[in-house]
Amino acid sequence: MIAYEWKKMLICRHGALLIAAVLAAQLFGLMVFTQAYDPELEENRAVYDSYLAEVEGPLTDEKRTYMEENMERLSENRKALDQLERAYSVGEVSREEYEEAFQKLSAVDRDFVGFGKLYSQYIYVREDSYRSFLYPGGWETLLGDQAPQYLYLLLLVFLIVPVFCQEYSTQMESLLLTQRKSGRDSWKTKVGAVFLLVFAMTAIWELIRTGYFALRFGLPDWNYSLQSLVRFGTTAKRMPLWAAWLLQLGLKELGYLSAAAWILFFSVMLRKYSAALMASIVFLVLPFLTVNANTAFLRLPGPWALTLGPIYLITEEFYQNSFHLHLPFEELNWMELGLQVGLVGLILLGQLVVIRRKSTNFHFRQGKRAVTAVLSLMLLGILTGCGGSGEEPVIYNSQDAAYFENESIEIYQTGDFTTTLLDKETGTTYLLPLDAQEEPESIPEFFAKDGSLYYLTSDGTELTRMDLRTLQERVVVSWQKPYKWFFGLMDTPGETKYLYPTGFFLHGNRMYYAQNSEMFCLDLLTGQEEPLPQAKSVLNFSYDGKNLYYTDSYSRLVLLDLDTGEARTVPEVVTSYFRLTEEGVYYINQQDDKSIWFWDGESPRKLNVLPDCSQIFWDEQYLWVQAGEDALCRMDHNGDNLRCVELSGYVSHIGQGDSFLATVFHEEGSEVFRVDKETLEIQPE
Amino acid sequence: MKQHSSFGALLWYECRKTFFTPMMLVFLAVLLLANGWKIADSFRRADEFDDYDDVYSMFYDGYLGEITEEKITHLMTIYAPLEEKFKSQSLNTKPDPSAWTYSEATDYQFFHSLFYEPMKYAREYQNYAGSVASKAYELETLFRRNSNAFEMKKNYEIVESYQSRVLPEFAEIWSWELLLRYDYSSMILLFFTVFSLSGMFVTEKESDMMMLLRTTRKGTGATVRAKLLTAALYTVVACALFYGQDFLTVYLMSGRPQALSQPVYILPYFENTPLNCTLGAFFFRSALLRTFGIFLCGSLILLVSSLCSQSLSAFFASLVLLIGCVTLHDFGGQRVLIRMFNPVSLLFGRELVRKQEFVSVFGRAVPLEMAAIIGSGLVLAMLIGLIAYFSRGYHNRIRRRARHDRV
Repeated sequence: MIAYEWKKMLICRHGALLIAAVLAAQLFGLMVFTQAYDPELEENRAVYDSYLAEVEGPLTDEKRTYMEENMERLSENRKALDQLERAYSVGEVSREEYEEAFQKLSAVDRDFVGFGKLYSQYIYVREDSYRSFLYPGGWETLLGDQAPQYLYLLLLVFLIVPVFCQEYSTQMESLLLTQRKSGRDSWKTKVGAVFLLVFAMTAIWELIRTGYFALRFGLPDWNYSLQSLVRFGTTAKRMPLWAAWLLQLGLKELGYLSAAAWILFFSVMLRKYSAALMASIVFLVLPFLTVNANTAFLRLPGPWALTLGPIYLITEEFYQNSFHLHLPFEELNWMELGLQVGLVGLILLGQLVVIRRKSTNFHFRQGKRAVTAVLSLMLLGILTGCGGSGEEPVIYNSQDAAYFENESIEIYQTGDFTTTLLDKETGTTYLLPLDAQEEPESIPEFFAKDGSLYYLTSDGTELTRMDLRTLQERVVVSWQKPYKWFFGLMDTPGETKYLYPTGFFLHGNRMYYAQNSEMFCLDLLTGQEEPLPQAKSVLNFSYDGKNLYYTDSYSRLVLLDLDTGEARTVPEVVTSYFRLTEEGVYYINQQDDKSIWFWDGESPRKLNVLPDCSQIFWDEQYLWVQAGEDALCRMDHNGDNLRCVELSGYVSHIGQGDSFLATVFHEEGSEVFRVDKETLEIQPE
Repeated sequence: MKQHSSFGALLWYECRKTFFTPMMLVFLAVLLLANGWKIADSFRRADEFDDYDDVYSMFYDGYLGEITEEKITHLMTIYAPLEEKFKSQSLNTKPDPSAWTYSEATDYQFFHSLFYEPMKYAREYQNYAGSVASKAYELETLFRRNSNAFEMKKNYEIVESYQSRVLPEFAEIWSWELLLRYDYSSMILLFFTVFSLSGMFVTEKESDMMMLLRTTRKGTGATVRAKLLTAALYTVVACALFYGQDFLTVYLMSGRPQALSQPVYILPYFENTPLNCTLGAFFFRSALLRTFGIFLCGSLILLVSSLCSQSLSAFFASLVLLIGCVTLHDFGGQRVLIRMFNPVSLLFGRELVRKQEFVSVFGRAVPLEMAAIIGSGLVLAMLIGLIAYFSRGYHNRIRRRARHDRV
């Protein structure tokens, strides 16, 4: 008979499909939205683990000394590093000495952050002798998750309500009650099947979760104390981690079984589908959405707090905030917890009694196929890697990111955190964004392609496109997520992405950008992001519609074909500053006294003997170079007709106009000069 | 039975069948209680200075009304020294019997959030509106030269609506901001609607009455009309109950409704709104829009109900669809199509009038709220059409000769 119940629940009413759908959705949520307990710790995991191996376990005197010694060593090293930096910038130390010492010191300094994490753990552990050293990442995330599982509760409601209600709706129960055997035993099989299913599903999901965290973060040292975890630091219950895990699993099982019993109870009492569904959802799900903090349920003998498991293991600290006393919640001691469990068990038994009294018989009925609506699954984006379509010629240099110019408009940065758009024909300026209702923002990265200008908004969450013909701005991609969703009642999972790159460009559907001297590739359709590990310490990079140009760690120019992924190193070109133009690459040759060379795909050739160059600008007619500390030079594209002028200033951009600006820094401040392109006259601005 | 009252009788019977059942009334009571508790609790949490209501009343009555120089000077004599201390981070947090509230720090918070900020915002609003209007005027010229008719119209509208905006008076706004952002009642209404309406068509199919009904003369057209009308009546009554409860609770708990007669942009949330009505009018309008939105969702539920053959699946499908719509709304961002046609977006009507936003409909610039109402109207017409189609009578169906012969 119980087999028939399984068949009814899972196959005839498509329960198996529902379970699969909810399981897939929960897995998706687990994999995509789980954040590491401490992302910085994860980044320095290797270092942390190597030091942890020495101190794992309870605190002893040797470990104390070990920690203190290492802390001192690393702090001293860091201080020495700071001193070295300062000495080098002042000039006390020569370049070679600096490089040598820097290598040594920075190798040791790499351990600083990782050890720092262990040290703060040490401070925590020594407060209580019961605490031990262990890697907390996996356990904290596993035991710290206290969000209600709405999907699972809804699944239970839709699976369990029809168990009794189906018979009521077809009015068969009166007939079945007249049968001898079915009148007695059918309710047992129903209730048994339901409880078994709930028990199995809860256990399986918990095991999947635990397995996932074990794989992703690691769950070591499961016989250490629960108090070793920061979140459970003040828990009064003394138990090892595995016992805590079992306890919270047990509480969860009891909670969900109690929920199942309530659903059965409602369906038996109310009989109609819609009433039973409504009552179950109002009873089980609505309280979570209504109440401010789930701790309100701690002492209520209902399924709510029990399904949240670990909430029974936490004590919240007491604090006073201005004049409002913050009411803490204290964890229940063993006796109270036992009382709670007992009460819930009693209620469960009472419900079983009621169900038994109103029991109906089971009669297998080939009912009409129900039209089931299947939850739409959100599929993970396929990892396309970063390879795609070809593009038309476009020249982008990351040094020019903050400027844009075409025949009708010019966009540039103005000093006080604003970006200006100049209408060349009328000469009027407007502040970006071009919306009267928005505050002016500073937008420092632009990329132009196909008659559109792309830029990121200043809060780093939206990619906007401006049509260069009509100047219409449209948001193309938005990474903004609402802080709370579902009528403002649930926290949005996952993190919001913020992008503050130092230059970006678009190739097909992918955005390549540099942040913190590393390059990343972000697929705009799927949201997948990959770092480009070859392009490290990128100072400037360029794009010609097909290839990404950057310098590798040996300062050699590399061309990366973005579609095929092939990297072509140009070993003859050794540079730290280059500019890509229609003609080829102009660069500052590191190996030849920092003079200007040119490379156009074949062999590089020297353009000029100017030493110690630091920047290259290109316009239709000339090549502009800053040479040495105090010279600004102009030459033809082939290096002839060199003319230099004295200017100890900094040129940030040379546009298409007749002149450009240079800033000279004094001790008191800075001054801006205008340089005429033809006559090379310098006038103060 | 008289002919002309038979539809009325039909309507009355539908209503009685669906709504005047003990289950419905019990659930309605439970949900009204839950909503009442939630909004009262939210209000209490937002009311930081509940303990110092007498102090608040004293100052409020003094500053209420037109913002005069006198009032400003009076406020600044108390506030300015506190602000100095705040800037130099030397506010005393220890309990101080000579302070107006608990301590110096809370005094700063008290005056800053309850009086200084609102008054400053109101005072400066005229300038702000003027600067927005002039920026829009300049932009209009720019877009005219770039032949962008859409942006031209938008900036023109901004100039028109911002031109004479001014906020001369001060009134309490934090309680009304709470009411503005309170969405719990919408969720409850949506849920209650699923429960009430998902059974409307489906119970007839389940009890096999559908076939019988379809053979009667008034079986199809009139009953469908009666059901739709019942759903509409239900929506109006339920929305009036819940949204009325929200408004009344805030009104009574706050006791300071002066902001309701002020322009709607007295709330900083509506700094850039295209609306020029009063705050009270806005809340009424918002309730009407939400009622329309709930009715739209109700029609969706009725359509699902007329397609499903079991009440369980009707309930399930309706719930899933509506949760899907809510998710789409929350995570769909700024996509215009979603905001225009999603039945749920009218429930968050405030988001549609937060800024002057326009939508390009066949090349014309239409205000976003108008576009959303039109979009929803189209969706509603489509849903009702589909409901009528799926419930059409036997004699309206296309008869196929061949089938007829085989029988």
